[in-house]
Amino acid sequence: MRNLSKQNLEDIIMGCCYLGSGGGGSYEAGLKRIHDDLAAGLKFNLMSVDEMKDDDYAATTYYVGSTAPYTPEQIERFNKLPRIKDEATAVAFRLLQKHVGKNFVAVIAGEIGAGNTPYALSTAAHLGIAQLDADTAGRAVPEIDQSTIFAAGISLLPTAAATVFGDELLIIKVATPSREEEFLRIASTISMHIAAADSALPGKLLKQPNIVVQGSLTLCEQIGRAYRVAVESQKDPIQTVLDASNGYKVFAGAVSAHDWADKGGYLVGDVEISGAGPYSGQRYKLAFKNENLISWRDGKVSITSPDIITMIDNATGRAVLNPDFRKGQEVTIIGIPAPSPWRTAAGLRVCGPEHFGYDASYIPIEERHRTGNI
Amino acid sequence: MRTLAKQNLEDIVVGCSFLGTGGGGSFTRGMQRVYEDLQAGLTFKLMSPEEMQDDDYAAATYGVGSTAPPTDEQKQRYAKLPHIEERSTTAAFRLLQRYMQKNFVATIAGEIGPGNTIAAMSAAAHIGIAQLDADTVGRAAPEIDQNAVLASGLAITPAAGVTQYGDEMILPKVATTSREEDLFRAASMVSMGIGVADTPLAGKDAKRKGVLVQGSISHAEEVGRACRAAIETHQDVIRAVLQAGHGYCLFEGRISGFQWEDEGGYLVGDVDISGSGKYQGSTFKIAYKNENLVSWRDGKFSVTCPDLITMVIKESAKAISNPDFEKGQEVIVLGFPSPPNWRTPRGIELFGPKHFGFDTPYIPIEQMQWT
Repeated sequence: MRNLSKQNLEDIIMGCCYLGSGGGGSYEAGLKRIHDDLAAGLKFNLMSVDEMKDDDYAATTYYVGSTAPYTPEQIERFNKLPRIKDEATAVAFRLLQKHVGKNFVAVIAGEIGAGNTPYALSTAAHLGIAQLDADTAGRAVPEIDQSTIFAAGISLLPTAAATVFGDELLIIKVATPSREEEFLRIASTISMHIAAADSALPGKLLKQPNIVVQGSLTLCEQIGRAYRVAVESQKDPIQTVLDASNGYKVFAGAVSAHDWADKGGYLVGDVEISGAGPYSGQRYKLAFKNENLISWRDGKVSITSPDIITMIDNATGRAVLNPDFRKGQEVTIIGIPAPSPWRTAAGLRVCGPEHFGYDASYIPIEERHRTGNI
Repeated sequence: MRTLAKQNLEDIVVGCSFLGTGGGGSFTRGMQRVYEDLQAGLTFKLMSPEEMQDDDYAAATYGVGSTAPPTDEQKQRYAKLPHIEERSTTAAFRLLQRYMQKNFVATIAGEIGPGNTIAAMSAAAHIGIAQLDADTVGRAAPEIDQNAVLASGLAITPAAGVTQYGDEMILPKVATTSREEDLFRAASMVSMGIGVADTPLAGKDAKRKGVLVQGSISHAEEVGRACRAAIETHQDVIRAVLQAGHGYCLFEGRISGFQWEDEGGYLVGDVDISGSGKYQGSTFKIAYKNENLVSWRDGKFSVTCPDLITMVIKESAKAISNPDFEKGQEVIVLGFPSPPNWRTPRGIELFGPKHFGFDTPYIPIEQMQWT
């Protein structure tokens, strides 16, 4: 276990941008959250999965938001309700802990993303426990189904949920796994948003391979540090980020077109880049549902989920989060190998290109690179 | 504890119809349920709160429906889900029991009404436990706020909800009482309804004065029995009902007008009666929100909630359910004193005329000046 300094935390958030595959929440919001917590005197501790005792527990917490706007009548009702002082994620986590009745030592991050991973870190700091150096995706993902725990066939239940008004809810059992999200979503429509805690698992299980993505926060930190050091020493940050992430540079050019829309709460769209330098004359295209999921070079599949596809702004060397690109922007596309839990048959079922409706089969990026099929 | 015979149950339904103040669910459905359950070999038991051990528990159980019809996409998705074998209310009651790790011996009725009290008793019969001779209102009432347990300062959580598909959830606590209803209604919208169990009460609280309305089911039975006995012996049925229910005759006449509409799931309206016989030349008006709430005689406030106002058909002496009346119909208006639970400052705040927006103080029916 180690205490994270402000610099460590900032490195982690910067690293999250590259592993976010274009999503994962707002970098500025993530940074602000951590700065606010540090200013309030909160401590951040990072604990490796191996440091957990077999019968210690960790769990994830997250917010489920409503995508539909609230009516004035709803807002009036919300305004009449009391508000809790605590962070709702912390309330949900404590409720889960009380219900499960075990010793909870750490928070598991739900994904790696610049806005969302700091949420987990912040919840852990508010609870006064550690952040586990692990998450359930190893990247940012669009749907609740993309949980490595879920892919491993382990039930995420029981779920504890808390509203900002002080309501507490436990989901003990569901008819099918998707019902959990269905209940949380419908509850969020009458609650602004709702904080949930689930995936309460013992150290014994978490230490097994492919249950969670282990070491993912440390990896973020290394990537973030590589970026920072390169900038400080006036080196090419894209190259150091590639080195730190075992990534591949696949394309460079200028954004020539983009198209996106809000579809049922998801940001769905695509962006086209026309090649420059060694890629001159080529066209590259990315498609995203919150996160970048698939890319094509001159109409041929280049990289697909679960591998990570990230756009980098050439001028700053920083990852571009969807939809913050603009026409004419000079960018580089990099691909980063997916964490191992996604490369299993069960992982690909929920995170492979077919799951997202693309007629493409998953070929690992290393393989694509080796065969020139990228 | 006693086992209720068919006749006892019929008396209860009839009695509830007089105490339901125009609401409380369908009389026909209540009777149907009694016959269906008896036919299925179920046993109805009534247990007084005094018979509970201090650490025994009782709880209310009921169904919460969705207010919006399911979409085609939802219907398709729900058709693929598994179904549990027992009723969702039974499953919710068992879940609450499991969650609280207590010995649950009886169900508590949510109100006294011809359809709803029987629904609670039927749930008890299905679970195979007793119905407590008590309820949380002592009459029928429109809102979740009109709950004597809440008025006494106790919480109605933890609450358990189970869907017909076997989804199980617990509300350990809620921000305000109406949030329980909101959250379960939300869950019911993605489940075509949900069975709920709440208001877990320990025997020591159930026995305490002012928490539940005690003896309310036997009281309904007495009113129903008085009605039946009067019919059988060709006596004045209304007089017998008033005597058994300690009530008053408020008015008699013909229905001269009415209006009602659906307001956010509530049946809201009023009915005008023009007097006949000794009331010739006078008018009477009743306003209701599902249940009859306030009345006016010649434009001046008469009996108000929490006291009971019930309209009966003069010819048959049957209680009228809102809005099943017609113009020209000859009716008699009865009034009954509310249970003592509602005659406290907190009770009047939750169930007095001002709570429903009528600008008049509550005057107990016994203290009214009759002309």
